[in-house]
Amino acid sequence: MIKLGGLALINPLIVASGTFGLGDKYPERYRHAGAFICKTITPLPRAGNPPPRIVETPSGSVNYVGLENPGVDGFLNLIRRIRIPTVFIVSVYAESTADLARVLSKMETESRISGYELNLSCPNIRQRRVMPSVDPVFVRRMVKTARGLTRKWICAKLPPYTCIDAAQVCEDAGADAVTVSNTYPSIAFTPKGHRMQGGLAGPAVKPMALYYVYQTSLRVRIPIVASGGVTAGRDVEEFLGAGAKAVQVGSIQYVDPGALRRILQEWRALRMRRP
Amino acid sequence: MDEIASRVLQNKKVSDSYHVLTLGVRERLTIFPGQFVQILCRTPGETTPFLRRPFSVMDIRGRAMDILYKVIGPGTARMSEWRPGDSVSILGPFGNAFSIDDTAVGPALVVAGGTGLGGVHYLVRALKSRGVSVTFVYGVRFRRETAPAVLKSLGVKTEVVVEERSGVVTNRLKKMALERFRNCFVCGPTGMIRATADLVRGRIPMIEVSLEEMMGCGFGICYTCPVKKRTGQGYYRACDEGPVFREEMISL
Repeated sequence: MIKLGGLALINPLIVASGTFGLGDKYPERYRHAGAFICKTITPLPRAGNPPPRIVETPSGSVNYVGLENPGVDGFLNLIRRIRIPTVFIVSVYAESTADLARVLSKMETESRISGYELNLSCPNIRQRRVMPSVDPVFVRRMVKTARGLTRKWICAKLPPYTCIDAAQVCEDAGADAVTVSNTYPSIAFTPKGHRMQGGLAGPAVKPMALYYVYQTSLRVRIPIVASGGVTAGRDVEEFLGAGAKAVQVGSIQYVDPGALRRILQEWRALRMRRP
Repeated sequence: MDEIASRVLQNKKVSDSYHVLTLGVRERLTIFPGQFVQILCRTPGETTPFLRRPFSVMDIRGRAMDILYKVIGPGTARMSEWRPGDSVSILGPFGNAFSIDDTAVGPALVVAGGTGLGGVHYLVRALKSRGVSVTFVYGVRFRRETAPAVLKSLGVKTEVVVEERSGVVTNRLKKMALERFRNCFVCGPTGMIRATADLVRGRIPMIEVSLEEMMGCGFGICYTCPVKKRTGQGYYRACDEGPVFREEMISL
């Protein structure tokens, strides 16, 4: 059992937002996770970006999905029908505090939602106050607004590079935790030569993610949820060693849908061997 | 959606560019024509090529599965090095299937281009076993790319259109009496699918196309294989709502 502020998880592994859909598909697949974070939900439905949306790169992939989702109302209808097998966190994106308030007040009617991850770092939409550099005033207002609306767990998902400063702002504004970090802004070319700007994920980003987790952990006292390139039990151990309290598992699940359970077993086996 | 352990039974070059990989699986799989599998082109401990590659199931015989592929990138280059006995991780089968169990399936025109042959081979065999008369038109860019043994194994009337000699497939289709067909099934590059659909629309009542898309996962969780809806806003996921679509549903 681990504690992330007020949130208790049966283990430190969390399904990363956007890497396992909305939660309505294959719920039996994420029952082993300490928590599940669904794909980001917005106030209104979003169609997402036109193709291409993914390019494979060395040891990873760049994606340009653009927050395709059914909107808060569609999402709540969808999850009403499913049995939720673990702690369920909703990733939320809004462009203003008013929009954020609208989404959260609707989400608050669903008691099975245990908390929110505020997506303050999507590289694929024009949230200019966050990308490429973060606006601390915007971050503070968003976290404060969320804090004023809910007693549930609030975590801010931050971008790389600026997360160290932004984490402190989130802590001051009342966040329960921060996720370090979202994908790395990147450009990749498709095999046919089409230029695509998106976010890089996968084992390629792990050394950078470890660096930002460590540096952020020196600055804040709230728990850090690490995210970036985890594919094996050893990676979990490394992120915990760098200062994280929990670790997200992301794009490896595209390749290995049973990755979370496997990584958990590998990590437990590692722990057994160590005094 | 569990991983299926398989072994290479055979990995054979069938033309200048195409290979047929035959995989043996432990249990008999239920796979319908049009469905695909996701193949891992590296050992699980490596990190590159990171993503799996989607391939249509070209044929299935008991516990042996054929996959047609062309070496175009790092994944397929790895595949071409596999030898009998090597173990291969596959996921699937995924996606929907061609609608062939409809009682209204009549004389069928099957059109494929390039590696699209792998996407319709099993379909042609299934149509034949249901007693449906099949005309197959197959387009390749170069003569040296045609895989004569594979085409012969289909056992149906086949027209091969070699682009370097006689232009694209639709040139041949224009000369055909299309109205005698009831179904049209198309698989190949997007440009070919679009041109074929534009030509046969309104002349063959039921047109189904199978798309070759880039995919992250193959089973509906990553949202990276969008296919534009013809009417209304938004996208289908090629892996989940497809890869086979009624032509009138999508916009290519």
